[in-house]
Amino acid sequence: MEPITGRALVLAASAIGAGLAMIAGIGPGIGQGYAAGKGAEGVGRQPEAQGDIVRTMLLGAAVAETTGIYGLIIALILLFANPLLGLL
Amino acid sequence: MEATNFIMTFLEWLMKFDRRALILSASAIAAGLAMIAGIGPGVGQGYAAGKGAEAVSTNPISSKQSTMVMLLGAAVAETSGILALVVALILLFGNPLVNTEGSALVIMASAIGAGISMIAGVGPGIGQGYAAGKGAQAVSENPELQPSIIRTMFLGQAVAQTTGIYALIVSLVLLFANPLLGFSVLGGVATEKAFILSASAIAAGLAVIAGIGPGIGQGYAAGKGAQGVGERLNSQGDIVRTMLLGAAISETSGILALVISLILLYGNPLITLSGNYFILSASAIGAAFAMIAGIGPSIGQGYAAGKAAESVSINPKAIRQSTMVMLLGAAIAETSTILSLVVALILLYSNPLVSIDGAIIILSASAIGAGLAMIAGIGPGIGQGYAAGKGTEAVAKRPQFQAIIMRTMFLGQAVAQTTGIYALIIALVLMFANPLISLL
Amino acid sequence: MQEVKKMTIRTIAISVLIAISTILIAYFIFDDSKPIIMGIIFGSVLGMLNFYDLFLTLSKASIMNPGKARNFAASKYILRYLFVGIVIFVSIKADYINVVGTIFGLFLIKFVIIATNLFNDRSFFMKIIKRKEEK
Repeated sequence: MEPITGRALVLAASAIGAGLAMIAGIGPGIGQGYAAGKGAEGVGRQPEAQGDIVRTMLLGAAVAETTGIYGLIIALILLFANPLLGLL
Repeated sequence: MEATNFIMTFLEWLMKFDRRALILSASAIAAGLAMIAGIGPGVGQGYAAGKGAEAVSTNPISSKQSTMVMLLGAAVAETSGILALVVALILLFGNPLVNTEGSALVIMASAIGAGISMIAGVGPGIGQGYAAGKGAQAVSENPELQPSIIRTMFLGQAVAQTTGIYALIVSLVLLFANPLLGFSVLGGVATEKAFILSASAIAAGLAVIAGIGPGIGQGYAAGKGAQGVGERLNSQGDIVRTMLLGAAISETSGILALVISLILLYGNPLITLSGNYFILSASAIGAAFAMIAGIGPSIGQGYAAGKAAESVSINPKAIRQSTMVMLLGAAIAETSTILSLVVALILLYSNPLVSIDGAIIILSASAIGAGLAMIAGIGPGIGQGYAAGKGTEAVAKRPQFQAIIMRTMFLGQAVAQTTGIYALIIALVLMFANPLISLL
Repeated sequence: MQEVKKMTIRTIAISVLIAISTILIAYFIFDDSKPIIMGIIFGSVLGMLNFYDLFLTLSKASIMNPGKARNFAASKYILRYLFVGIVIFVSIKADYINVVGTIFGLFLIKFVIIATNLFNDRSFFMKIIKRKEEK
């Protein structure tokens, strides 16, 4: 096996880092699931308030949605636009 | 350093790489580790959205106010995610470590420690989201009290953020003002010192993960405080005071973890101890693992604090009794952190393992094992805190039965502590009467 | 559901306006503004599509059973997450689309939501100005 270069080491570590960063993606998934469940419950109790319920749920869920994207951005930067290789 | 085992062989192979490549690799992994904190805000804001939907279903007329409180609280909950993102971006785009002077091994470990410490952001994210949800619910029940509810919610959320700030401080210290690099590195003995300092850097990051606990616990207290203020505005002062008192108790475990972290960074006792460097490094990691047990008591105490705030709104006249029950119960819940602290301090200051004659790898593994065993303290911590909270609620409803409620609570808490004692026994056996070395 | 749809369309419309104004600002500040403008357009359009999908998901979920609603919302979230991943990936790989612009566009919806919903309750701010409190 030919020796591993420093560049390969950085790329391997970036892959590990990208994988770790993706873990954050489950957070909003759990949160939005809970929100949808509560919303369904609320609509079940008060069907005539469905408009308001869905509105509030939508706003909260949209805010939660983008929080999961932070980890995704870091992961994709590490994989495809790695800034560390330039510092080698 | 000769290649005594697989870890040293790995490190020898690792050190053959270019110094910059090593530091950048560690930074990449650290950036990924830091982003794990994003779980917290995601869950917290989702919870807030769900509670907001429920609040609107309870009272559709005040939906605008409920939604506003939900969004305010959710925006605060975002903070931990942003702090973690900032650290990750610093590591990727403005890396301060790659040009720092000093031992490559210590710098690598500092990067990883900085990434690990940001994971504490999970706690405040969840806790503040909970507070936001409860705030929305409280506003739906009492829309005209919206300003007071928002104020209480913000106050509680600010307290919940503190342990996230501790983690950020440790992270930034490791990145920008690293005290571990100042130790002189000359000659063969120095590489052993570097190994101990590297383990200390990682341990410093690991220890502040205990900040997850206070984040969740104090967030719970904040939510209950907001709810209490909505139910009984006249007792607002008492509710807020009780909430803050309980939150302060919940903070203790986070502070103790920070203390261990700062000891490892600024007053490292391990490099002055004589003994095998490998065992001392493992002791640093073991001490950090032990402090993670602080998550349990702080969640439990936060629960107790929230219940105490709720108790004030249930029965303001019984505030003295319910607060006393909360304090006593919360104090007992702190036991697990104290036991962990004792184990950590033993490992750091009067390390018994370095003086034992035996295989180094076994003694090192025992150090880590002792620390891992103390993580069991999370269980009793949460359980005893739950008992304290329920005891407070019971006393608020029936103050005349305070004595018997407290007796039952103490009994239950004592039983809950047993598994923590088992863990302590194992840890002490591993440290002081290690049976494994004679088996070799 | 008409009111929710109206709110969704309104939020999207406001973000379109802000996106256009940001594009104009970028046009004047930066020399080579084409990638940034493309990035903002790319990110905003896809962010708005995501928001509309979220609206459809939650509208459907609100009439399901709570357990089913939870799983449904969570699985649609995963699909959206992967979609955003592909969007950012394409933006990184293509030279003529600036990543920062794309990310700005994706987050635009969030800014607009917070801005329009936090500051639309006039009575709240009147109370702050008056500083009247019941005790």
